[in-house]
Amino acid sequence: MENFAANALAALANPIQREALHKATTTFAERRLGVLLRAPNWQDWRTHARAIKDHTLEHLDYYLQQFANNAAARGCVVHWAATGDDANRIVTEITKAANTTAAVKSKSMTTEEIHLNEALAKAGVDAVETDLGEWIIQLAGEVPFHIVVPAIHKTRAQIGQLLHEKIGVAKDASAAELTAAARVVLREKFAAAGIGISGGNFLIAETGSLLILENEGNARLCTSLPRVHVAVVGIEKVIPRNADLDVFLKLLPRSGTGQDLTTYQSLLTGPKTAASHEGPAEIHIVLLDNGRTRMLREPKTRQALACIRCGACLNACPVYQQVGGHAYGSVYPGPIGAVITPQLVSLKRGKQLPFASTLCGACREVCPVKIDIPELLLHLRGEVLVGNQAAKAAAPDRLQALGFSIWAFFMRGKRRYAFATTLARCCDRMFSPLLRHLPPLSGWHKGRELPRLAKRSFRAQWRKQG
Amino acid sequence: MRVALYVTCLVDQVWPEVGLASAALLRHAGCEVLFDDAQTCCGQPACNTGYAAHGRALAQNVIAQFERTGADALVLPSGSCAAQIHHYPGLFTAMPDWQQRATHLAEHTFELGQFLVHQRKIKSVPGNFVGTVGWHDACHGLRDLGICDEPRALLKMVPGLTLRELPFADACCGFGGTFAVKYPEISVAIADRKVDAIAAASVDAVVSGDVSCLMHLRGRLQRLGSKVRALHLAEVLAAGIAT
Amino acid sequence: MSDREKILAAVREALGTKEGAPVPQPPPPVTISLPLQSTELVAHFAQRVVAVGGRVQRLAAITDLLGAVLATLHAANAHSVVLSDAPIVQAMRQPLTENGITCLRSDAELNHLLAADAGITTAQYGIAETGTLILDAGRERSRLASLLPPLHLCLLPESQLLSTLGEALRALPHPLPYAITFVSGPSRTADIELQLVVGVHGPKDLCVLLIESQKQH
Repeated sequence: MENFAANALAALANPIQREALHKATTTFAERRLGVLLRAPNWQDWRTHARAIKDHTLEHLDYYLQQFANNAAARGCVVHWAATGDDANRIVTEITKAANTTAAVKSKSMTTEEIHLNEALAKAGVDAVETDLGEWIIQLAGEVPFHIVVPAIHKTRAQIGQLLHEKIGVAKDASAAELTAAARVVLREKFAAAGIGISGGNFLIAETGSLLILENEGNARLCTSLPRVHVAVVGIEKVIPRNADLDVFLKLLPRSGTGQDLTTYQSLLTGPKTAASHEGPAEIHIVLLDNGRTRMLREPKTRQALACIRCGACLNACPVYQQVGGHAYGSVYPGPIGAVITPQLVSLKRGKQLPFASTLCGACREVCPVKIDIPELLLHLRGEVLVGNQAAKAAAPDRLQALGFSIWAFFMRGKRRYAFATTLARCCDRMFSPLLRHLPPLSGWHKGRELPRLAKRSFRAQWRKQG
Repeated sequence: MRVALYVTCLVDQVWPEVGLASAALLRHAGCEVLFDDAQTCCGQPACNTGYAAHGRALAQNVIAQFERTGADALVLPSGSCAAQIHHYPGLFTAMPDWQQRATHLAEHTFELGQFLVHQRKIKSVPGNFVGTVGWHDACHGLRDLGICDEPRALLKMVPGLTLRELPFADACCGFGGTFAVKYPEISVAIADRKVDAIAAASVDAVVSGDVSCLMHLRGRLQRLGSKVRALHLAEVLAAGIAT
Repeated sequence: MSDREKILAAVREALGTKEGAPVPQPPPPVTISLPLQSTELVAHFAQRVVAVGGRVQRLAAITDLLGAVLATLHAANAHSVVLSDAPIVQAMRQPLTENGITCLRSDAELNHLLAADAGITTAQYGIAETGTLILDAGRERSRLASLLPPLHLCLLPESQLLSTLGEALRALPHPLPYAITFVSGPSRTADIELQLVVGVHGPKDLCVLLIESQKQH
C-alpha cells in the first residue's frame, strides 16, 4: 500500500481491467438507483440505520458483553482477539482441537484483513474459499479487487484459462459452465471439511445471534455441514436488537448490488441442541479488535466503524472507477478503504490513501449509513501531515509543506497578495514554457493545457471601472 | 440589497470575465455590488490538502472583511469556495467567538446561481447565447450546497440557448485540487470520461459553476483539440452584454 | 486480565465510560416499510418470488398438492428427493415412493443427500414485500433439504404470508431457534463478468407451492 501511485499507473495501463471495472461500477450504480425508486423513504432508512450504529458504538462495551453473554448462554464459545495474530492463533487452535486439516470458508473481509488463510496454511490447514469470486482469487493467488465481487477485474476468458489449468475445464467454457464446474469441485470440499469458517455481517446483542448475508449459498453450506463453525467478526458489527435487522437487511444489498434483499440470510443462534438437528455441534465466535478500539476514540473517526461493507462507495468513486481495488494495496479498497486502512494498519503505511481522492463526495451521497468519508479523508490528511512534521518527512512532502507556508503567507494581506500576483504574472509571461515542465505545474501539463494568467486581473479592471 | 462580491482568487487572476459577468448579473438583479480588494483566497486549497491552520488564518481574513463591508450577503461565482465558507464554523471548534462570527458569515454566504434564484427570484437574464450547452454539476456545489435545479433554470432563461443534459452530469471531473497534480494520470482519466460524455451529447459548450473544474475541463478539451468550450455560468447568463 | 476484559477496558477507555454504566436505550424501532393490504399479499408475494428468479404455483386445496409435486418432479426429471420432517411433507413419502420416486430422510448419508435431485420442505412464513421464505430449523429439518439438491420445492400455506420483513422479524419465535434461514429466490452468483448464473452452490430452481386453504399447517 506504500505505492498507490505506482499501482494506479499500472491499473490505468490495463485496458481489459478498466473495461471490466467500468462495466461493474456502472451496472451496480444503475441497479442501486433502480431499487431506490421503490424505496421512497430511503433517506429515513439511512438516518435510522446510522442512529442505531452510533448508539451501539457509543455503548459498545455494554452491547459486546450482552452479545457475548447471550451467545455463550446458547452454547457458543466466544473468544476475544485484540489483534489479528491473536485471532489467527485462536482459529488455528480450534482447528487443531477439531482434529481437521480441511477447512471451508465463506467470504469474509475480516479474515482477509488478518490474513487468516496464510496462518492456517502455516499450521497445515487447507482453507478453501468457497464464494465463487473468492475461490477464483485464491486460485490466482491474488487479493479481492472489490469487496462485493472480488474477481470482477477478470474476464471470462481469463477465468476459463485459470480453471483450465487448475481443474481442467475447457478454456472456452461459458460463465454457467465455469460455475457448474466450480460447484462440483467445491461440493467435494464441503463434504470433506471438518470446519467451516465465516465472517458475520451482524451480531445481535439481545439474542446472541450471528447473521450472515449472501447470494450463493456457500455460507449456508459452511455453517451447516462441517461439525465445527468458527466466525471471525469485528467488534463493531454488533447491533442491539433483532428488530434492527429490518433496516440493515434492506439497506445493505440495495446499496451494494441493487438487490432488495440478498438471496440468503442465515440467522444463527448457537450450535444444535438435539441430535436430530442439522448443523454444527460447536460454534466459536471470535470477536476481533485489531485497531477498532483506536478508531473508537474520536467521534469523527468512530463513524467509519458504522460501515456495513456494502461496496456502494467503491462503485460511486471516480478514482476507484479508474484504478480498481488492487491499486489501494489493501484488503479494503476504495473510499472506505482509504479511510479504514490507514487507521487499522498504520497511518505511515497507508499515508498515500487519504490523498487518493478528489473529495467529490459521491461516496458520502451513496453511503447507506451516512459516513462522511470526505470529512474523514480530510481529517486523515491532516494527521498524515502532522506525522510528517514529527517524523523526518520525505523531500517532496517537506517541499509541499514549505510551498503551502509560502503561499499562505502571501495570501494573508492585500499588499503581499499584490506582490505575489504581480510576480506570478511576470513569471507567467516570461517563463511559461519553462514553468510547465517544473512541479507542480508539470503534473498539470501532463494531459491538460495550462491556463495562463489574465492580462489584467479582475481587481485591476474593477478599479478602472471605478 | 448590498452584496459583497467575493470573486475568488482564480477568477481574479485567471478568469476575470467571470467576475465582471457576476457583477453585471447582480446589478441586473437589483443589487448594489461591493468589492473589497483586500480579498485573496478562501483557504480551500490548504484545508483540502490537510493544512487546516493555514485555512483558519485565511478564513479569519474573509470573516473580518465581510464584517467590515457591512453587506447583506456575500456572493461567490463558485460552488466550492462558497461551500468552503459554509465549512468555516468547523475550523473554529476551539475558538467560540470566531465560530460565532464564522456561522454568521456562513448564513449570509451564497453561490451566485442560488442567490439569483432564491434570494432575488429573477425571472430573466441579460445575456444572449446561441447554441447548445450541457451543465456539469460541480461536486461541492451539488453535494455540499445542493445546487442542481437553479443553474438549469437560469440557463433556460437565456434567449437562443438550448440546454441538453449530459450523461452522468453529476460525476466528478477529476480535478480535486492538489489531486490534479499529485495524481495527474488518474485525474486525466476521470476527465476523459467527462469529455466522452460531452462529446456524446454533442454540445457547443459545457457550462459549470466552478472555475477550477472548468479550468480542468478546458485544459483537457484543448489538449485533445476539441472545439467544445468550457464556460462559467455567469459568462453565459451575461453573454454578449457590456460588462 | 482476560482477553475479554482487556478489550472491554480498551473500549471503555476509548469511549470514556465506566464499567456498570446505566443500561442504554437504543433508538426506538421505526416502521421501515408500510404493510400491504391483506388482499394484495398473495399477488405481491408471487410477483416478488418471480422477480428474484423463483416460481410460484397456487394450489386451490391441499388435495392438489401431491399432483403438483409429482408434476414438478417429473418436469425436472427428478428421481430422488430429500424430504424434511414436516408432517405434510412426510405424508407424501408413500405416494411419492409408489410413483417411483426415491425418498430420502434429511439425516441420510451425506453423499446420498448430495446426489439427490430435489428437496421438499415447508416454510414457516412468507414475506410478501420481498418474496422471501422463512425456514425455521427448530420447527423442521429443512436446512439441507432446501440447500443441497438443485431443485427446492417449498410448501407454504397462504395463511402464513406476512406483509413485511419487519413484521416477519417480530413473528420469529422467542427464544430464537438455533438456525433460521431467509430465502429469496434460487442460489445465484454474478462473479464472472457480472453474468447471472443460478445454482452456484444451492438450488438453481426454487418452486413455491402456495396452498390456498387455511389450517393446513
